[in-house]
Amino acid sequence: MPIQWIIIVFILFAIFKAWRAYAGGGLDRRKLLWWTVFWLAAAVVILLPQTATLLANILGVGRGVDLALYISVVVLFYVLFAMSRKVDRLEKSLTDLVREIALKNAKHDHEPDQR
Amino acid sequence: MKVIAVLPAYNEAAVISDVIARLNAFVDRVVVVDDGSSDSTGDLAKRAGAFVVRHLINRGQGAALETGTRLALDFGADVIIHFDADGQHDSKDIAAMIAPITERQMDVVLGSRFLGKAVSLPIGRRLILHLGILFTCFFSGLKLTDVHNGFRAFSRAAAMQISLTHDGMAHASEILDIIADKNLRYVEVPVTIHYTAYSLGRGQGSGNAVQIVWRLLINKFF
Repeated sequence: MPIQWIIIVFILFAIFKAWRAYAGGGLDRRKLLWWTVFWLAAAVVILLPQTATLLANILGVGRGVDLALYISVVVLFYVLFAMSRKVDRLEKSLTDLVREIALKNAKHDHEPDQR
Repeated sequence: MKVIAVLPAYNEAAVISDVIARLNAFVDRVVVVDDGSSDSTGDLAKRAGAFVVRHLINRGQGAALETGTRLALDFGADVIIHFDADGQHDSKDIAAMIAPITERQMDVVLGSRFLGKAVSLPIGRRLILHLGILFTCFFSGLKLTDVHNGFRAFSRAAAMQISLTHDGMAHASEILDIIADKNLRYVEVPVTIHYTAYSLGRGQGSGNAVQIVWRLLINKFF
């Protein structure tokens, strides 16, 4: 099916990007390995859907595609949660940093209070 | 009794000088938190006689108020006033805002435009504010006549207990939550709000209200 090949091309692109990031120092070796394994596993499931169906049947799901969708949705929601926590922490750190610098600079300007 | 006004200001060059000039007579010191403005807000504020502290990047009104309040405490403030930099508040109301703290040992004084006179308040904004009042009553249990009014006064002791973590506009609700949590003594005082074309353009729009509610709900989860 054409959709399989479209996704495979995308997966190759994703793997290529991961290796480029690794070469550029933006991705450490553990993460590179993780992403490569993840994308290769996805490729296997896409080229041989019956492998996923095998696992799906064990778990009581009719089709492998359905299982893949269920797992994806759950994982994506969790990732969203984790990311939002991370962004909040970042925002807080950023505000703390900006405030710290502002107050430190203010201390420099602060002449003895006349009143 | 040292009274310090804290003004969070983001690109308010058009009005900041006037606002400070009108404030100077009523407070001992004006602290302007220039929240990463890209115009000359900070310089103008300094020239108008305010003490200016500058956020290198814009962090939001809540963050600016927190920075300014800490600085005011550092300066030895006995009373800290939150005041909008866009000119919608009336400095003549300051004496009435301070009185409950100095005379009746209140911790927090909240300005209310519905006890006072809201000069030319558009109907749409009035509706949104009333929804906000209901929302606040539901979540914090405080029965108020106004919410999200940036005009407030705090005793030194109260200001030391309040630490704002919502950087954006939701800080107004956060302050009310803290008042409820810590059982601070609060009172509302009528204040006049001047709704000019300028302050309406700068202030929180109706879309912003939705955003605030959304942030508050999201914060219940994350």
